[in-house]
Amino acid sequence: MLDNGKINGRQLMVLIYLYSIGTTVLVIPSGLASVAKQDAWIGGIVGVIIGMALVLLYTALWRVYPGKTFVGICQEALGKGVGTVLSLIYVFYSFIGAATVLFYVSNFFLIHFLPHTPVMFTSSLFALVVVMGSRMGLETIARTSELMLPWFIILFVVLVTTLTPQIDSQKLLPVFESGGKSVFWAGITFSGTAYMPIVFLFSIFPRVQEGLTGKVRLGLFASALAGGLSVVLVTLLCILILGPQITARSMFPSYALVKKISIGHFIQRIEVLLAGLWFITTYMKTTYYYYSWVTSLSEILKLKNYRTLTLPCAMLMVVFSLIVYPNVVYMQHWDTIVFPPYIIVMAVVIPLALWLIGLLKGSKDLSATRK
Amino acid sequence: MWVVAGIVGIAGLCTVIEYSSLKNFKKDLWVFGIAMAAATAISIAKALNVTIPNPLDWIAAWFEPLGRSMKRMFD
Amino acid sequence: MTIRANRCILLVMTVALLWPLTGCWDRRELNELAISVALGIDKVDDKYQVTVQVVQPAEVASQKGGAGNYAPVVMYQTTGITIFEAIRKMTITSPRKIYASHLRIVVIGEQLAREGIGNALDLLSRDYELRTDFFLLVAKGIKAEKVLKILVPLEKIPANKIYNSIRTSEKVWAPVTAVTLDDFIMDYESKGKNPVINGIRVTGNAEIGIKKENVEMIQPAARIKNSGIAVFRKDQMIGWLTEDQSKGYNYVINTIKSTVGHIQCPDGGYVALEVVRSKSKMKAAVQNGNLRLAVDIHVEENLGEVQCQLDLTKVSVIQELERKAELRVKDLVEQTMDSAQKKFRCDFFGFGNALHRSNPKAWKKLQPDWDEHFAEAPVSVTVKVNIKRTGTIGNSFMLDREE
Repeated sequence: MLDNGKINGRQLMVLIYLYSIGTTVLVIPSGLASVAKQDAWIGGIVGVIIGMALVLLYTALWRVYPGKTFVGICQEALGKGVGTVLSLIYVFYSFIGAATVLFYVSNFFLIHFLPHTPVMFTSSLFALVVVMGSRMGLETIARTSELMLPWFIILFVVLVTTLTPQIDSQKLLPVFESGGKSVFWAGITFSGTAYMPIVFLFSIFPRVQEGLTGKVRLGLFASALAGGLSVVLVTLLCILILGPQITARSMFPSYALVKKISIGHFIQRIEVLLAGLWFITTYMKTTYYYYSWVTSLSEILKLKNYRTLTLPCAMLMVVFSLIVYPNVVYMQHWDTIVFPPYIIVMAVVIPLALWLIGLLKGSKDLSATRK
Repeated sequence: MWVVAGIVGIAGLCTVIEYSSLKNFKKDLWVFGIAMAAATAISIAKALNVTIPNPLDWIAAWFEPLGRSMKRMFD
Repeated sequence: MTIRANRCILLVMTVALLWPLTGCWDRRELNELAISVALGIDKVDDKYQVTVQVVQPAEVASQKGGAGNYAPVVMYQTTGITIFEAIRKMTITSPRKIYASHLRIVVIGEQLAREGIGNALDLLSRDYELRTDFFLLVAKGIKAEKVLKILVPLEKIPANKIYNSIRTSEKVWAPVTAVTLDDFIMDYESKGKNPVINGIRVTGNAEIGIKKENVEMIQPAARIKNSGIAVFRKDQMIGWLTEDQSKGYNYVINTIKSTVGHIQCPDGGYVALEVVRSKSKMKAAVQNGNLRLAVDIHVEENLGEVQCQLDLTKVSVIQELERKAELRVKDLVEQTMDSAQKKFRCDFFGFGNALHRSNPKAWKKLQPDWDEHFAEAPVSVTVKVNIKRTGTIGNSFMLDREE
């Protein structure tokens, strides 16, 4: 495959943190608020709990099939034929994922910053950087995310501290008015965007230098938890400052939130600087979706070098990002109705099945050797 | 007209970039060629405003009823 | 590829990357912007008449008062079926496209306010260029465009003057409340509170007010003043609150930071009391199926001006003043509650929201015709005033005069 880059446990942690924040923080507060109203933050916490269970599943799957990417896992569990078909389905999903995330990013920039620039240019420019990163290898991407992390933390801390004076805690009341069902559904949508895409990181799990040690496992949980809680914090701030109705109605509530920063009527209107936050996390998400797509596809096709596919795949990604959501109303409909069951099947049901198969096979092997 | 030329130009540029690393690997060259052709074809089709089937529609066809019942269950 | 070829390509690429840095597709140079600071919306014959106050940078920026020939702001006005169209249409008179990010105030004519402003405000919440920190105002008794034509002293840009005046008044003079678009929308959407908007009016001779003579005199002929609070039911204006009632309103919703009021001394004369802290709690409860409303107010005050014979060394005198102050605040609040319940029959305080927060089940039952329930419910107002300080002197110098 000609990408022998290795990443260590700490880089994996940073990666998971930025990846789980990804596009979640951009759109999730709106979805949560429309389902659970002022209990959106409770829905977020439920989502984090569900996410922790999911991370448990993924580490278990990793342990049962050590050193194998998702393609490898499918082929080992279900044999060459069915396994390849399943892994093709996964490749297709990461392709869709890359195209949709690219659409989100270029849509965000189009609405707020560059309304008259044709979408194709912003998409292509972004895709160019994604391709550049992917071609340089996993190590480069991991080190870039490590470099980006301090900036992210600084901007995030600035965001939280400058917004805290404007909190109106009355907006949280009455607590738990929406009831358990809405909160649970909100939690599912939350974990669907934040945690279930971690299944795509299986293409890079085998590259972790030390393998699945206890330390790496702990790091994985910790960073996934941190990522989810960061998004819950932003959602909480949205509810406390903007109120549940405005949050539910906005397209990008976190951006509407940072528009409100005003320190002494001097430090104000700095929302563009904080949009850099979302830029970093969405870049990470796009890059990993894309990387997972290209490497998995080249693994199935048994190519000498995954880099051959990067450029054509990039072109496909850009084109499909323009096709995939014809308008924002379709996008909102698809994201709220079609996406949850789709991703639950892909990221929960199938990994669960693969894990069970792995366990059974393991015990069969064990009993075979014992005999 | 110019857009199509632009797309073909970009495709050509990509081929030039990749050619030297692929010269010796028959299989890679073929895969690259097919992928590039597919990507260029779809790009040109989009530029000429041909309706391209949306993969999300296929996924929606499968999962929409399930999604709706899930949402109703939790509302 | 050879190293030389590689380097050449890299060089070309680097130079090519410099190219987009000079500007981008969506660039809007500063001299292409018409920075609008105030927006006025009126309705004329079923169409929206939009008035925009645009800054003339040359006049505002120069130290010596510029050429002195141009007004510091210029007004553009168009009509259109939708406000979005009207604003774009302004380019038929304006040399530049209107840039609305620095909007300070949006003034709505009273007539349009009475008809309903929800539709007019949709553009303001949907457009990406607009921020949410501008104030909404209702022009009292006149069209919005008349307010935007008056020149004011001390501030070159009238919209800035209005913005600063509201911002300052909100902190030091109770009857004024600053309402941003977000506040209005939040109140409109919550079923337990009806929105309010601050009022603005032009006093004096408006004919001279629009000319430069207005600011050339020591006492300008026309002035822009903040005036009572306009009460809305949903998005239609239903009336004005007087100054006292506006004060009462602000006491109830806990937005008073500081204000001054007066009470009568026992022997005649007045005492001015400065409110330094005011905290109020709105309560709504359902007891035995009956709705009961309550307002609890804690006020901390200082003696600001003593115009009568008061012996401030006695604690009993202070306590007497505190009692009187409590009665005064209670009276203000009861006046406002009265007008809300009897005259307007509309809950613009937010008691519905208070009930929603404390008792969601009861709220669900009462919510459909909340205004009626609100109008009939008994209200109990409890006020506690603490007078803490008397300024820098004890007894007034007038008290010590030996006659």
